[in-house]
Amino acid sequence: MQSAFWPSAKKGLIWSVPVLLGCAPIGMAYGLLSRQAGIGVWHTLAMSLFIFAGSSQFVAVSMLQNGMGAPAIIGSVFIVNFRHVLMSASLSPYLTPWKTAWRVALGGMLTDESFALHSLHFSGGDTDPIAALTLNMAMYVVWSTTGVVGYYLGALINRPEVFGLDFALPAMFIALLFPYCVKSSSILAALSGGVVSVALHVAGVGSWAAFIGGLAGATAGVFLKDDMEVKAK
Amino acid sequence: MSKIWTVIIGGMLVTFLPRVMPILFLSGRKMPRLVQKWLSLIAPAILSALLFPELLLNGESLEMFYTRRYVYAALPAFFVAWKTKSLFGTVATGIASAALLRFLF
Repeated sequence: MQSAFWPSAKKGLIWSVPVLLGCAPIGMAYGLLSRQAGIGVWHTLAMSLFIFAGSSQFVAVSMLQNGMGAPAIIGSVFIVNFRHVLMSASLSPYLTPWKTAWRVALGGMLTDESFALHSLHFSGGDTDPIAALTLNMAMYVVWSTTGVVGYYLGALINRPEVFGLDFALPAMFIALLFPYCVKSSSILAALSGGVVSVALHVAGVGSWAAFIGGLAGATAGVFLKDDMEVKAK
Repeated sequence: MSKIWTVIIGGMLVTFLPRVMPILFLSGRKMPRLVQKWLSLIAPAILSALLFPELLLNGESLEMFYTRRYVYAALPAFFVAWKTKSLFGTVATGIASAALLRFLF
């Protein structure tokens, strides 16, 4: 499990490429939005460095712009990011051999995208901590710097959709969902999670949608026996 | 402390703790099989809980979902993911289809 530093770091960097393609344009959009909200560049950067959660930062910036109070903003950030409690819990069984400091580093920098990749690698038996933490670090660095780049240049290069880059992250989620679609329990979990989440968005409680969708999906799938497994090709 | 620093530090605490606590306290614990299975199903459940709304919703509405560019950009991506199981191939296909659709319509 423990392996040499550089080959592992390189592996982590290669893993991070599709994530970075998707997260760079969002980082720039965040920087631009923050500037338009009248927030200073250092605060914009500090938010990326300390909070490091895309959707939460978008929410925080727009609430700051609307003059909401700090408790309300912190509360919303908490709700929007609360889904990570599930992600963290589901990675935990694989991390028993890890040092405590590494577990804190992995969890502290957990995002939707890095979770999706870690989950695939860990369940496939690759729990190399250097590779996993390199992936996290790469995303952290790119998210923070693109926020600042977007702050200054966002207005010039604010059309990621022209290059299709806005679809990089959805495409990545599509790719990462497929490996789970070999067991009937996972298929049921995915379908119920997706449907519940869409329903919650439509019902106007979108900030809870991912958390409750994840909870509902896993619960729906857990009681399905996998003895009639769909054969993987 | 200024309001924005209150938000940043407060925001850090309320995002850091939920991310770290479960990993910190659940790792190394013996868990019943049913709980293990439940934890392993969180990934597919939450991935599609994030993906479905992204593909289907206009704002927060399902109306006219079949006119969404993402719905059609997703089809070739689904096909490549199913046929090749390649992460890079799927992401590249998704990006190319989204760009092409944007260019055409």
